[in-house]
Amino acid sequence: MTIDDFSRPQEYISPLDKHLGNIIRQWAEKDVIPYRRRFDEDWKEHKIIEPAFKKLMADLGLQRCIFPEEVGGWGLGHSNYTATVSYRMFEEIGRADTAMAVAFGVTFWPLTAITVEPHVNMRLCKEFAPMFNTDKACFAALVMTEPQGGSDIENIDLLKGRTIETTAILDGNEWVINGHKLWPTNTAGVADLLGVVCTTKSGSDDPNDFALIFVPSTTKGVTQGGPYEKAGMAADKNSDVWFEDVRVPSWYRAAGPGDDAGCFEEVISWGQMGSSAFLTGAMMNLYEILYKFCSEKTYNKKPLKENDAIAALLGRIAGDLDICRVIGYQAARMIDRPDIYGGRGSRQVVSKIRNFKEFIADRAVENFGKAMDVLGFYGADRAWDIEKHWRDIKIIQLWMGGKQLCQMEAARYFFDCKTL
Amino acid sequence: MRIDDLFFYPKELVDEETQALALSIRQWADKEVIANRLKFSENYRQSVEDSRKKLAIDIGLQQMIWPEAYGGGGFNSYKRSISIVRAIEEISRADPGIGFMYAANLSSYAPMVMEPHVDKELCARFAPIFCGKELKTGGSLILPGAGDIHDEGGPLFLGRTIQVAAALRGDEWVINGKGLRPFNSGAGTELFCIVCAIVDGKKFKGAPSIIYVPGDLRGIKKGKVFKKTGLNADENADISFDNVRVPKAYMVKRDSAVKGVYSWLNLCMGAVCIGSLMNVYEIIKDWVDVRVIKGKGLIKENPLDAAVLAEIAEDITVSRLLTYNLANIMTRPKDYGSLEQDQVFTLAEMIGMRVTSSALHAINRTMELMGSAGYATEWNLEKHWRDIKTIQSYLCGVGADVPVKMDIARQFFDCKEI
Repeated sequence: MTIDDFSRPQEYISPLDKHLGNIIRQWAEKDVIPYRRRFDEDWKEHKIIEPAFKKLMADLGLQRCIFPEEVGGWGLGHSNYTATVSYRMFEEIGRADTAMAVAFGVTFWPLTAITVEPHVNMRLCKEFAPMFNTDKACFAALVMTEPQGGSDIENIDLLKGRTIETTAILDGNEWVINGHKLWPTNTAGVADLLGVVCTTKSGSDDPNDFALIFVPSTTKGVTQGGPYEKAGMAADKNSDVWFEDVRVPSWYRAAGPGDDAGCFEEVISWGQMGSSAFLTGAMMNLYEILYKFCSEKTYNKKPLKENDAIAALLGRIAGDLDICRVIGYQAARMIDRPDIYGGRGSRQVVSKIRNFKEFIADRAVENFGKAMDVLGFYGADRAWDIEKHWRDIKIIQLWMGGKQLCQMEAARYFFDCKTL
Repeated sequence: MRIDDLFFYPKELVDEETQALALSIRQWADKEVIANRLKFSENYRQSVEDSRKKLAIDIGLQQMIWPEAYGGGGFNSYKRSISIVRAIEEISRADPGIGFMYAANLSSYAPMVMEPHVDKELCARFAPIFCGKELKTGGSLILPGAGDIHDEGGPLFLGRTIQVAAALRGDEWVINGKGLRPFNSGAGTELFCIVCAIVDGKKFKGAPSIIYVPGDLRGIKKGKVFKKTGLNADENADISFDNVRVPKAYMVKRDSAVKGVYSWLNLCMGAVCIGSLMNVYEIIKDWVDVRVIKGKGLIKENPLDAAVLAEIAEDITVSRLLTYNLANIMTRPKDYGSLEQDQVFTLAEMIGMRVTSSALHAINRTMELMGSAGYATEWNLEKHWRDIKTIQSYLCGVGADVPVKMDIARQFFDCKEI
């Protein structure tokens, strides 16, 4: 039994899966896992973390994968397997470090609005691809949450963007952006390109006023704060971002009135699918660690795994991973095949994928906590690697509106609630 | 409303002296720790040492548990269980890591200091270390835990492997054990409290026993301080004993003492949890009193979020009542049996497990409501989460809650083979 034997629908799997998975696993084994116990102290500087990112993103070239071939990318956005193969990549990175997985995954998050069919915006692809065709790691960020909250902005089905306070006003051929954002992944100076969620009319709930506008991070008027100190996820930097009369060309808007809101709904599905992959990746590593500990350590003179009561816990943990992986790949499949499941931003798909993610996150949080207890005096010891995952995956449970928004989306869809 | 009025505990059982002590600790907590959390985040170790010194020496917590006859504060009785919970609760509201240190220290001294088993020889020997004006790390527990598949396997304490062996050579115990993981304070302790298996030649004999070993003896090897999830006020390191010799009198002369350590440990860790939860309540109350949802109403007025808040309040209330009830039961051996006997020992384990679990549940739910602020250091919630999780895993020892469940099943269903 190996981690590769945990279930996933084989008929969904991309032809690229094995190849890309192997490359990333080798990278993780060599460039991340031996160093990850030192990541917590590196949260501000990223001196240990940056070389591993460079190798993954620039040297292996993965930062270019989503762009069309015509602009130097791998054309992943044209594929019927974009999400499924992304899931495998995120899972492999998450097995080593979920914070690296989110920094990697979020780079593609805003870019899905301009690189993935049917939204390919070739003009913007040509504009931004050169940033990523370099020998240094290049990141993007989706700049969404504001001081008054992030879950309200993500709650687009109900609030339709009316709580967004960051404004974009058209002045001739330029957008002029003003606002204050919090918490985006890959900020604190990391990202080269920002996808900014804003409104063209403050307080409006008209989808035409919802805007997703790209802003190179070096644009005049963009200011990023220092990284926040957090319970975990050291490889993911987050900070305040201020926009003060920031000017970008009018064609930096992702898809245009109405379509930006649609892209953003799809972004929710992408984000929850990615979160699911980070979680099942971490759970795969949990299985590896538990297998070793429970085979070597004893209770009542038997290996832990041979005690019926402890085995029941282990069985549940492994069983949950098996189930969660199937669900996670199903989410990816639903994104890949709108022709079968409906649009990625449809109520049906958004609600279901949010639901999947909430389920997987709950299972992960419970199982990592239980696993720490199985290790007992060693569960909180960084040398066993579980506690770091435990801190990191809790953050995954909390982000993107957390449990409550997932529950409301599910209730709205399944029970046709009108006012939640 | 004040937190003491919101979350009931049996006030009629708490004497005036204890309430005065609790007030002093609360003032210390508010002034020295809670108001200085930014400073703590910049230099945690030094800040902990500074604040601990005021608590330990100025307020007198370091000597509290030692008998008055040996210079202590005279809280060395099962009759003071409630006072002890009250004190630890207040310390832990400020910092569960500091509360944990006191809780574990106290549990390590209990076998020799607690009435009716005060060991005069041991108290005379060790009280001067902890009853002076110098800040000490305190006692370190080494408890049974996981065995190793490669070892032949020594004797067990209710399924948990005892990893330290003690052999009597003349008037001395010779102590041996490798790669031991203390419950607390292994790096700097002045005194180990060790659960040992007694060996005679190559055979183990008798019940598991407690032997005290001063922390500076020849043959003790300490590993590096290891990094852990929480409880960073306490520095821990793996320990080895290589033919460490202590006088014969350093062994506690009763078989039931090991269970007594677990009873105290579970009670005191329950107190750490409820102290932590008091502060968690204060943090989430501040949050929901001003946080707006959906661009209009307060988050606490949303029925879903209010339901989560209710779960949090329920966890805190029930945990506090359970912990004080256990303390009360421990003060009344004539009614319930000694805290070193099976019934109270099992009850203490049950309540320890329940309270740590409820505390973690409440903190997890609080984090959900606070979103990103739940895991950002500056909101001071995530530290409670890390500290309490670490306590939960430590109380398990090995195999999650299975060893405790086996103890409970034995007690209530007369299981013989588990």
